[in-house]
Amino acid sequence: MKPRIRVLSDAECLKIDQASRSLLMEVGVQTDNEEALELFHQAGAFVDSKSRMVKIPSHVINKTLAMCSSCVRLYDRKGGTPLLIGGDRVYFGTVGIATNVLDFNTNSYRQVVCDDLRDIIRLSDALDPPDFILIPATPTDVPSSIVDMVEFKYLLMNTRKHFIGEAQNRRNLKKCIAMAVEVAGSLEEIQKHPFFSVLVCLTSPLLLRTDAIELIVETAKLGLPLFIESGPMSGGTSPATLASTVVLANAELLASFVLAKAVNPAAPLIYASWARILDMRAATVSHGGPEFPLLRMATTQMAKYYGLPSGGGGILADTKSIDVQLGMEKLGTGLLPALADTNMVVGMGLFADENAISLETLIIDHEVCGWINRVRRGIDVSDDTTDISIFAKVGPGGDFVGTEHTLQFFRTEMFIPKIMDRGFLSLDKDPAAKCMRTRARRHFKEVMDRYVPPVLADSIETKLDEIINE
Amino acid sequence: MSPDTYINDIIDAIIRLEGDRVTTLAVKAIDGGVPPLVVVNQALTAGLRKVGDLFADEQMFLPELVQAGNLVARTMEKIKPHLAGGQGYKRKGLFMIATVEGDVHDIGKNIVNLLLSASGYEVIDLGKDVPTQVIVEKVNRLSPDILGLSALLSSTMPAQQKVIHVLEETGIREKVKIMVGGAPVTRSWAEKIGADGFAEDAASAVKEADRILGSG
Repeated sequence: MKPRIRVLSDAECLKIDQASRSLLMEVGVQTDNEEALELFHQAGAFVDSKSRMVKIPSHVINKTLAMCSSCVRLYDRKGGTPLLIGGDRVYFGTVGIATNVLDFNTNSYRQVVCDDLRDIIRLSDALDPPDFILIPATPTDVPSSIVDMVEFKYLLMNTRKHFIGEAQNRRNLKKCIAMAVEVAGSLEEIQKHPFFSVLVCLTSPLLLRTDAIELIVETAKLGLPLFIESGPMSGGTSPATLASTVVLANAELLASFVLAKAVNPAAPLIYASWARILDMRAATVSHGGPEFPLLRMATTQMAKYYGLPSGGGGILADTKSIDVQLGMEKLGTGLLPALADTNMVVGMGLFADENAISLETLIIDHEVCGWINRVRRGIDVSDDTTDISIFAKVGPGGDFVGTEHTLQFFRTEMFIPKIMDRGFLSLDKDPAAKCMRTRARRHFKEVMDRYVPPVLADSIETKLDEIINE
Repeated sequence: MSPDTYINDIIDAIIRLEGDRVTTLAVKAIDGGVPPLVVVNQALTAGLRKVGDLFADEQMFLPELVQAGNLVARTMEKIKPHLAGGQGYKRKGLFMIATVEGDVHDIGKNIVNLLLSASGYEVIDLGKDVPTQVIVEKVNRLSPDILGLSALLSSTMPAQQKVIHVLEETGIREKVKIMVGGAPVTRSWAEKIGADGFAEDAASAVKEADRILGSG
């Protein structure tokens, strides 16, 4: 068996499902967007044009869910097999709206610039995991009106892995897609093998903003994958009970799915959540406490309850430095969702609430993911792995170190860390010489020395800049 | 094939842990006129040193290190007749090794043993939990160049000190160089108890032994 965790019983999933359906029917979601009101109306929802409230009856949700696939294929530009999002597969990705970077050379915070974005994407491209790249930082040295497109350009230019891009409105999204067409050759090619998805962040509680609607409509129209996140904050933008927070996140996601499927029944959808808590002392959101993985496991289970591909935040940290707290938060918020089979865990590299990224934390998170993946594989108990002939060969009192058997199995049975400090205590040596951070920095250099970034023709870059500046 | 090609191929085969290929190449090289001593020093010992470096650099792992040691030892066995022919081959020295009294941990000691053998030392392994008196008697009788004392527990480290003490009392301390090692052992402990050498892992044990005997 493989170690797996559930936090909700079947009956509890049903109870949350019922509460979300009641919420969508009794309270509803609100939007000022005419296009969305019309689409909801066509889908069979009750739309009050005065209050702009949309109430969604249960049968509309059922119809929507019946149109959803249990598996979304995420392609890349390497021509490899796509990531199959759904079921018990778990993939790790970066994430970041971070505008700050902990500088690799000075170890002090400063604002993210485009060069940082390039470096972080390239490191993400070099390491494995991340299995995919959600835009990992927000550069501050370009006008905010085009920052989303600049990010998209940097993703196109610096990775061939699947990526999740963001856009602030329809116009910018269309330009992003035009840039992707430049690289891929045609829109049809992208539609056949979508090598990027579009990120949508919903607004809690129960508000559908026009920018989110535009992204959903435009992306769904083209049949490209949507990674839709709902991130209510317990005690802030959702009630203080964790269960109600799951009810709300679930309702908001279902409503957005109704909208997407009203546009195009074939739209590939991923049910993702950042449901979390508002810290009542710091008055800020917390991603590193125990509630975060609890909520992630719960939203994941709700996705599975409907047979949907799931995703959401994980491997996160509130700490402002690369310290003991970072290790504790990253492992806790990464391991638990992974054991609940959250299909796309996004968070690699991010820390300091959601405010900072660094090359070191990305390397550390790569190690954390390796550790987690080993736990997920569990203990392989088979005739091969329990064969007693090796005991006879070695005999009582012997050792197994030099046997063929050990040579055959140690690399798969044991996680081989890259940067964890192991080995014995050398009292006469500096204990920090081999500490994880030091080793992370060394490993970064090894990885990047070997790395060959993807190459795009200069003419393509010129073309991408033209599209951005049109 | 030129001697250099043989040497490079043998080193490559050791790193790839291709035991049969190592032996075949070594025999072929000697048959083809490469001096046996060159095969031992520049190919087999050098290959093993490379494996030790890769191990220290975390690119190769313990089971591979031991395998490499084993396969070089097997090849040495095979080409021994050529070495005995008075072509200038001499063992680097006689190394006696033991895990001290009260301590039953010997995996580390066995690896040290293996690497020493493979790099040209004649090794006498007294085993584990060896009573101090037995060690002293063996030193007296067999006159090793170096005595290696292993202790994995901080509680058995004093037994290393005791061996040195008894050797002194018996008046044969000056007959032998002493190296200590084991997880809790440090260079300062080695100095404190009057040992001649210390190594923190198997690869550096070989280097330390070479240094002590001035043959590195």
